[in-house]
Amino acid sequence: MARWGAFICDGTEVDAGSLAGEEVVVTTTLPPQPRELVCKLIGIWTRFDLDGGILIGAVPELVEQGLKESFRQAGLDPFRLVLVDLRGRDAVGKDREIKAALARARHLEPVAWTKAKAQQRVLIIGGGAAGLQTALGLRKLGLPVVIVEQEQNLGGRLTKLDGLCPWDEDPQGWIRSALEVLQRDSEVEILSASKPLALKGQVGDFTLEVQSPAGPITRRGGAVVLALGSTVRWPQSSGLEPGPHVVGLTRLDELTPIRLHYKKVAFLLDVDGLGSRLGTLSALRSALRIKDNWGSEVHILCRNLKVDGKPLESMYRKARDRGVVFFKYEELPRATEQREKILLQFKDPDLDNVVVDEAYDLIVLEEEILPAGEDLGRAWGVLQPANVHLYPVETNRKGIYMVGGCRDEMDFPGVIQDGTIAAGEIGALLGQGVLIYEEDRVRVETEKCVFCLTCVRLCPHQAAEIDLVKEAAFINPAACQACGMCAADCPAQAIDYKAYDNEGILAQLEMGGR
Amino acid sequence: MKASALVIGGGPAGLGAALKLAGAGIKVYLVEKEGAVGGWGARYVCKATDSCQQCSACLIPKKIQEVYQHPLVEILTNTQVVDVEGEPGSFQVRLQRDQTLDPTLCNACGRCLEACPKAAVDLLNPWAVSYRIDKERCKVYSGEDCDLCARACPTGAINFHRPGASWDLSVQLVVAAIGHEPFDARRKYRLGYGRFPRVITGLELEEALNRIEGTDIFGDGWRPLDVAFIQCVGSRDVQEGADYCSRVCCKYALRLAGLLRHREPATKATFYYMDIQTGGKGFPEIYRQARDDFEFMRGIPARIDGGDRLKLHFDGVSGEGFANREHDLVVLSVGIAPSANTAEMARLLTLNRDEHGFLKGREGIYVAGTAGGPRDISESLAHGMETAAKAIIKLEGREG
Repeated sequence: MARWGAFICDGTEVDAGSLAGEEVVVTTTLPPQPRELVCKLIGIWTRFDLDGGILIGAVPELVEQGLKESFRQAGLDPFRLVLVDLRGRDAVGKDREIKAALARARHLEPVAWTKAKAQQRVLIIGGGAAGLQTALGLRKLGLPVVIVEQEQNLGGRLTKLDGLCPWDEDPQGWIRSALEVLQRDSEVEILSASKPLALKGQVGDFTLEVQSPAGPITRRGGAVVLALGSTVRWPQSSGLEPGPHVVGLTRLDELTPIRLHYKKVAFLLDVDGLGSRLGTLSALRSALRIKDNWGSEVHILCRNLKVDGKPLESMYRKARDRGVVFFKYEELPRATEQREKILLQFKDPDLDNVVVDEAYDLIVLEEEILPAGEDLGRAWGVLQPANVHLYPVETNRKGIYMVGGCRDEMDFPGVIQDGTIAAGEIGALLGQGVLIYEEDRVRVETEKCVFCLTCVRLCPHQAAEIDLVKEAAFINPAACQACGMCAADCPAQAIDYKAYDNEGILAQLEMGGR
Repeated sequence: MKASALVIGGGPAGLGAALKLAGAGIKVYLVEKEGAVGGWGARYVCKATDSCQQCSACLIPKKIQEVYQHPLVEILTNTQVVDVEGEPGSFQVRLQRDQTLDPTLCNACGRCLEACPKAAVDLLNPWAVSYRIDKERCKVYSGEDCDLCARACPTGAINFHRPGASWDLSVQLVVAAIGHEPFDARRKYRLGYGRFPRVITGLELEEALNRIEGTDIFGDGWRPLDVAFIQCVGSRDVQEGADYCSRVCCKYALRLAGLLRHREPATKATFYYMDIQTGGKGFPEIYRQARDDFEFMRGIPARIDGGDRLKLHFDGVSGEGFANREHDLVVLSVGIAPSANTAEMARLLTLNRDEHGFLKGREGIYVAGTAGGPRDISESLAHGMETAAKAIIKLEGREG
């Protein structure tokens, strides 16, 4: 006979007498303070050697995680406790909820926990600002790192570009000092001119194959950071090609020797797509510089002016005050070449849609900024999906993080923020050198599995694998995040999901629970 | 000695900072002047249609849950900081708590709400663990005699005669995450807010849609079918001293329109704007969809007149020059302004403010979230986490 406990939060006004039954061996009232509540609950559970229990309260979900953790520390199984939320229920509703929870609780099975040793080394793919900042943060927390960089030199796009940094920071200087610190550190391995090939394993124990100049090598680590940066694409729809009168915004600096010819310059923004804060920032900076240094007349043409960043609105006003002219267009300006000049023809809605004709010596086109390394992410099943709970740096795969320009359009302070946060998250994950996870929460019944691969295809966390020997699916408990999708969609109903098993849920629904 | 920190403000930035600090083994006192943590963000509606619109409103309950469970975070609601002394590494802080409603005794049974003639006791947000007394509505705070709620309370949580508590703390660092104030739309007299009931703010639409399932936002059976969203109310406005972009209004306005249309497919929406800010993760797709579904007009109305249909007068809109347009409902996309107690907090913490009035941090006192300038929910949360990470590194540097 199972032994059950009913735990009632103080003030929920539940009649304890109604719970008396052969299985409920103890009924007690718990204090409202979360910590005291947990202590008393665990104390009674242990003293009465309970098989399971129900916690009846007003907002029990607030204590759920903490309870689970405390149970585990006390050597108890947290999945043997069913929480009942009575908020907004009248007396009849309360009674029904409690009966339903008890019905479900009868079906609960024990869940085992495992402790696994975790690698502490962190594998960082990409040696730009995002990767370096993550490495610096991890080193401060004492974790060793490997940095894999495709190029010969570390530093990424920041070493080539200063338009990203309108603040007081000096990105090149930042890169130099970061590299000084990292190169001196014996716990930092830098693999430059190296290409990541394959990634195997799961959180706590990943193996990365790298094509290095010395040949293929492998490195093991507990977590992986993708800091792949961004790339730019020439705006095709403009109909313009790079030439003496047309240049991309990120290549503007290369023009300097012949600058004096450019009496009249236009920045054409938002050409393909919607443009970016970064592009606007860079254009505003460059416009002011061209005006000051070359004495040119400067126009900026855009669909929407991006001002939603700290320095943007003030820089826009400054540029306007200094004589930079702004136009807006709905339809892309028509460009025609005309005697060493480019003629742009467009309508500005703020100017009552009259047609504007302007001839320019130089057109600077905003390229589209795209995340780099999407193919790598896809190959490894890593994405930063439309799930805000994974913001800012987590991904769908446990132990794999994405930082900097490869996950979102980002300026230098944003990149630094990402690296700092990622280092902190990884420190918390691997700092103890041990991972704790539920071992058999989600389990495949091998004899029922028909090997259809539905779960492998569906699993958002790459936790469903195939076991070719057993000819059945296998849910990797370390990678599993217990979302339940595989169990819900398995056509053969071969996947057990403990604490949310069909029998238990049906029993609860039959009793009128929600 | 173990380090301890004071986090002022329980919104997303404060929650993020508190969790990060506590995660590093630092004892955190999370002080919130309201009756519940969560901040403005906890009052916003989930804007998912058939798919998630990535508005981040759901992040807040998750973080509230985490701080409640963290053994190192002590949540102090109804509490204010009244004095701060000392220097980086050693601050003495005086706190004051209003104890009229004791949250450790309240179990949210709702008896007080049934008893109150003014509906002045409520849950501040859906994740509040205790009720709170709305001082603006409560009769006692306007000098009248009433103790109906106190008498109805079965646990004695409400007692108007219970004195407030005041005590001192020693902390090594302070995070000021005091948040922001939505721009007061009454300042834009010509837009009719406060004069015409069908001119509302984006925040009011958020709260209404959070309360109800459909689009009966006033609870009188009337549903808006032709909605105008006016952007940049209190943003990019030199007259109001707010010549900055609030970053969030384009995003919430487009998402709210999407949600209205999802709940009532006949809903039409028009955006009156200067520039749509298209940046931010996932937002370009939402904007492209909105361009197909809704009307976009470049221009902000000079004046709005009331009547059965609201009349919007323009000096110029999308190349049309002077124009009048009519709509059922006007939603003012109010921006982010510095919190009302920013000046007071700047004085207490000896902080400077930037040209727009937002706080600037100093050594040992960090500013996180919208206290330092416009940010959305996930940005505030991330900023809180980053600020805490910086503070931890600094603290460890000092000790080591």
